[in-house]
Amino acid sequence: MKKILLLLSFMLATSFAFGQEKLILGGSLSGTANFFRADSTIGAINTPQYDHQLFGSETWVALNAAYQGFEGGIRFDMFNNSNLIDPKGSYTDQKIGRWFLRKQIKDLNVEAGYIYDQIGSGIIYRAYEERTLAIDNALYGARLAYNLGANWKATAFAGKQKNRFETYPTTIKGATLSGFVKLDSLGKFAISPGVGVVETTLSDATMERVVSAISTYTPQDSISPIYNTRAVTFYNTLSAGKFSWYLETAFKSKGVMFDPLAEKNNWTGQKSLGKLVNRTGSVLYSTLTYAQRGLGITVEGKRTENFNFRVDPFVSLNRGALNFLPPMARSNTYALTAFYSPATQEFGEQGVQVDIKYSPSRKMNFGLNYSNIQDLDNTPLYQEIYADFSIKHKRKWVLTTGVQLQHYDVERYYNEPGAADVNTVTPFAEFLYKLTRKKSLRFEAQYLNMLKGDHKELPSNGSWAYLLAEYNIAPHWSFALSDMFNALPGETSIVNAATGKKEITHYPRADVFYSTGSTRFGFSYVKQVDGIVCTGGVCRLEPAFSGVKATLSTSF
Amino acid sequence: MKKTLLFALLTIGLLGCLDKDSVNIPTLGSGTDSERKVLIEEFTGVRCVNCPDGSAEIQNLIALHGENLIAVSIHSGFFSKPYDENKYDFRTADGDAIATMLGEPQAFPSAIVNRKLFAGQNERQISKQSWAGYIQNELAEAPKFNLSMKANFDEASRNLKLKVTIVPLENVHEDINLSVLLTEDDIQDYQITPAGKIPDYNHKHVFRRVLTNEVGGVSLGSSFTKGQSESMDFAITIPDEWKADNCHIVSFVHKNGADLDVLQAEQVKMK
Repeated sequence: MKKILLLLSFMLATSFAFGQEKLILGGSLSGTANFFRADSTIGAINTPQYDHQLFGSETWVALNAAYQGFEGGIRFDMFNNSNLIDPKGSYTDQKIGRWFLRKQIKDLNVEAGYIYDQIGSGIIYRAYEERTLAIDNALYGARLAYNLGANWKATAFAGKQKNRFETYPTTIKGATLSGFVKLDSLGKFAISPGVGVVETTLSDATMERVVSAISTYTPQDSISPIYNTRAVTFYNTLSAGKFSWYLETAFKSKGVMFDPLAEKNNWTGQKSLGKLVNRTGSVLYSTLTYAQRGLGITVEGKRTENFNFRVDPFVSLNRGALNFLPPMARSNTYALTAFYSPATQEFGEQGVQVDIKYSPSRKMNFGLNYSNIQDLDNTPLYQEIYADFSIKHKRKWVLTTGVQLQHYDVERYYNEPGAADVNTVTPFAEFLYKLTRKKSLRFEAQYLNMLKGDHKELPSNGSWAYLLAEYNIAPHWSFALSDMFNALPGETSIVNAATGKKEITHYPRADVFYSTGSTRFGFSYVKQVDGIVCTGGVCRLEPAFSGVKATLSTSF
Repeated sequence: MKKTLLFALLTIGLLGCLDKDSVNIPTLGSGTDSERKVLIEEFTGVRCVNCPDGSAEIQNLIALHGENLIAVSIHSGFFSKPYDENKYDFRTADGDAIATMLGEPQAFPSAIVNRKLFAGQNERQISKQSWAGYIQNELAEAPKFNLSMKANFDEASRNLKLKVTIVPLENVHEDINLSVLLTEDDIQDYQITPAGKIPDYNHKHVFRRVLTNEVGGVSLGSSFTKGQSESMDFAITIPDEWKADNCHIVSFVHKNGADLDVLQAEQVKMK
């Protein structure tokens, strides 16, 4: 009944809008269809899709309407034997995944429904959708925003976090105040300060589970859980000519969270890792940017301690997170430079990142990036040096080449106790050649050289090579062929069941894309290695894939 | 600016006054005073480096709850493929079928408590941090059935005869099944651990097979009168390689529909 009422509200709002002039309607559709074909040689087996379902899909259809300050939207989500949410399982359901209504009433903006929002850089609160990672943690509730003059705005919101088509029982409320102040008459110096607070209140049912769990702990591990957890953040951007300095500091009051690395005393007398703890948390994050014609320099730093902020202390991975901690490593785009990606460590991490981009002319670009992430005991978790150079020749060709050096703590990021650290050197090159004004060829070559160090075998999955050839006919067609293979197998490479040896395994891929206007169709034959896929420091384990993918995205 | 300061002071003040909503924890101590017995099915594998940590947690909870917690370790999925060095292959067709029926784990360690889809959970498989709480909650519920087993194992023929008797403790009107399975304790074989491959890792509660014909159990009916007992007999020949001294028989009555909740469980030694 509630859902029908919601739909009626939306229809009422949109039908009202239809009766008016200057109605703006828009929408989007995106979907993926996966045809699964089991391949035991790459580990693409033992899921319902490979066993008997053979097909899985995800579809999102959104429709938005706006008229004279009214805005409304509705989105239908459909998962059909999908492995997106649970990579090893199968999920089928279809419902209204999002609706919202928004109205501007003079200086007041009122919004209800499923709301995406962020405070500062997201350290204490970020409600967002990232479909590739199966994240949709919209706030199901209401939000008020009030303009306090031209440069100041206050917001307040309350609700619950979306959990697939339901909500988590924990209640959330928060408020922000943000502004903009010119420090001189020319506007070269300005500050954009802000402050935000978010509070969660555990439901009685969740607290009952927490109490039940803690009641089984030995006395030395017992804690007194708290219903309410509050986080507050202060942030500011100082703009001074070519410099921009962002500083954010956040604190979290005591709250129950599960620390997977906390030592637990068992009734057996033994110790193990992982228990519920009740700690305060903090984050200090800053970015300093210098930009002038042809040169851009960014220096970032962050320190995180016990900033696990979730609506339920028993959920982990990408579930139930209220916040987003900015990553301290660059977002790599090449297949092999992105092979080992560091997930942000919410319980303890300190890192710096320096990024330099220099363009001496329109034809040449240089890039240099350095990132260093450690835990709070100064143990190195991730280090990366990345340098690239691109040169353009008379609009005929562009060559990009570079190298990446990485140190990666597999034990921490893959949660594989005892796994050896990874050190890699990855040279790469990309060449774009324009055959005609519309036709072009693009090639990529990368080699991830795993350093053996003093290990018996190459650590992790060993060394990899990647080759790609792409033919584009603008503006419609794109054809690509690629192969990724473990040129030198490593410690955890797949063993061929027939030979009992670790052999070179190929992961070929063929893609055809067709674009017309804002619509893009894709059809791909894919063999994909399992691994961690990250977007902005938020990661998830992707299982191996074997089969055919069809994709469609359009907006209207 | 005054507003900013006021807001900042207010939020700092809010952070400082949170200690009044804390909850006291009841003291359990070791041992559990309950008629209810709870089943935990752990999904594991010899190649799963994090699974020994889960097994240790199960042993910890058994140390706390004693006989009220019954564990079954099902070796299934990608991590369960034996190493070349392994003496045994713990994988079974029944174990794979149970994993398919109940849902594969997303991450390890993972287990299912009383085959229940708990409120607020999206799947039956739950991660280690949630086991203790759900087990505690399940133990607090009064059992609807009493279960007892009488095992008769003939050493010479290795034949096992088993009688399972259920007694409803209240009137129950829903489809109920009985599942019976075998586990074996203390099997020393290779297991990957954080310290590397351990050749003599002590595998406990290793699932061996289902005694009922179907992995989903055998139907007991859909209407039960309080106190009216019902018995079922089972017979099986135990393979030579299973050490009878270390084998346990686990039985449980459970719902048979969209819900598969275990209502009561029992465990006896085979010998």
